[in-house]
Amino acid sequence: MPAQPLDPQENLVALITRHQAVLYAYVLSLWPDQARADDVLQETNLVLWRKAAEFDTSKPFMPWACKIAWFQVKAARRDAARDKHVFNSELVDLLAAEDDSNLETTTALDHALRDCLEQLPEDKRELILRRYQPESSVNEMAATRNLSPGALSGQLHRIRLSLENCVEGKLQNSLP
Amino acid sequence: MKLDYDPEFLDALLRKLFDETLDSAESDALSATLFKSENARRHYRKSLRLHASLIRHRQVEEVIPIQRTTIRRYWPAALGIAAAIALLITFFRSPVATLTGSSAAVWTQAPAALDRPLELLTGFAEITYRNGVKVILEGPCRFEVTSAMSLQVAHGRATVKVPHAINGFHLDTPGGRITDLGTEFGVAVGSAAEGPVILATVFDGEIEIPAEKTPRKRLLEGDSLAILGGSGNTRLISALGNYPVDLADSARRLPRSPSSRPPAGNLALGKPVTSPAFYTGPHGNVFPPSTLTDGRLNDTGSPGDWSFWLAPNGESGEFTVDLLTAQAIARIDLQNTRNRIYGDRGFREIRILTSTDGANFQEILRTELPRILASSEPGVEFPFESLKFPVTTARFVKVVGQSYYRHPERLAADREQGGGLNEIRIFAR
Repeated sequence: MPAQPLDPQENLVALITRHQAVLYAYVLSLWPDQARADDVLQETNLVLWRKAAEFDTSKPFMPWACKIAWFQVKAARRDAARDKHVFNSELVDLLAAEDDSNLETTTALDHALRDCLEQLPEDKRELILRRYQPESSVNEMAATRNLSPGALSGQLHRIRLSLENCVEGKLQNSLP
Repeated sequence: MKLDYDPEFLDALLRKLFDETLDSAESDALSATLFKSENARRHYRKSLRLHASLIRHRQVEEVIPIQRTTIRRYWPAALGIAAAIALLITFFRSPVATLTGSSAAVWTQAPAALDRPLELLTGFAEITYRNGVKVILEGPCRFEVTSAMSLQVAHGRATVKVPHAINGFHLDTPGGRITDLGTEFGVAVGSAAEGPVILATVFDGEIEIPAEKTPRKRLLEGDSLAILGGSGNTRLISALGNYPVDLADSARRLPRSPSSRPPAGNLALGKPVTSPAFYTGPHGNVFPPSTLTDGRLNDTGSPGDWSFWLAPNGESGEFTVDLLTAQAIARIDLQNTRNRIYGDRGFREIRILTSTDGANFQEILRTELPRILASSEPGVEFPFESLKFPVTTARFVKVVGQSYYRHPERLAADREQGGGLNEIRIFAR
């Protein structure tokens, strides 16, 4: 069944949708705060959509989208000037401008992660997923498990490292 | 190569960053480390990518707030007048809402009055409120008209169309209240192990739904979301697993031609079915084999209560129906699935085997089922494939998938597809 050719706007919506994971990882790398990165991503989506007419379909989408996301990060940082930022603006610019060849594989990473989570022992999977539930905190999780926050943090860290290794292995195997 | 940063030190800082326990001095140390070394920045990006992926894993595809142009379709003036007259006529004597039509409807008890909990087992029903609000319900559905301006749906599918003059009509679900803002919208109210799962799609206008942070969220025409959890711990996602939420296949009018009556003599109806494995995903995305003999057809249902069976990812799958006693059988009718609007699952080549003891199976036929190419109108049946064979005595009927219809645009290696079937009917002749 051949798909109907998409009009430029639909095409852009498809591109934006397909690159949500990559854009989120990019924004989060510049502003490693979940809630802020969420907001910036939503803003970025809107701006990308409004600038649909400026998008040159013969050029790759990601460099264009990343640049807009970077500007959104800058704008949002200005708005939140009184907050203490993890990174100063020089570092943000450095991180933003540097080419990250791995970024494009983020969507594949999402899939690999799903498989790797399935391979984890039940208790470890439960623990790491609980940590990533909205509103979850290490202190509160440690308290309900009769652990010190440091001990829990160590467990989470080890699970993350093993996931990182697993995902890395899968990505290397799946690359042509 | 000698590293120009200390990876263990960086790991310790990243661990605190991801735990959200990084203090101001540590934050400075992290910045300094990253600023100085490109290798450190690469290390940071690698760990961060996994962290980002984990954040996104649960809230799969967050909402993309793209505002589509809302084209308001006003009701034709003539219809408005007709509605007004109807309203005048019925105003003084009618109850808050009445049952104004049904199609192949089966109820647990006669729907004498609507202001009490009712259960529509199969088929479709239309209720019309005194103020002109129309609701199409699709069985299985449990609901109650709770006031002149509200409907409660405990389970199942409903489509609500509210005239523009009416404001504030609401639909209550176990996942919270959906308030109409001059609309037509559809819901599928279901549940999963972790709590209620409500799918909502706006066909026209806009609605207000429960939200995570702000008290309410607006959903515009063309938008679809799943509402997870009860009051206080609502989460909104726009995809269930890999499937974007979309209720495009909901009935927006009462189906005109009622579905054909289920045939008499179906030996498989309600009989137990086992399957070594079936598709289970989060948020009520479960498709167990019991759906194969439940009499429900056509890729419909609600989270946790879908009408069809799906094999696990990447597998053709198989199942066995137990007729409970050995009987003479000579025909099997199969209704394939296409996994709703997604079109990426369903049996292709199959083998059918029978047995009297559940241990020794004889193959009776092999065939290729046709593909369901498009979702039919709600209430219109997908075709059945009728397979006739010489009379044989069997208690167990096993259907083994040899291949499946995958998504036309996905690669064969993509595991997010597999076998599946809506219904099996077994006959003596």
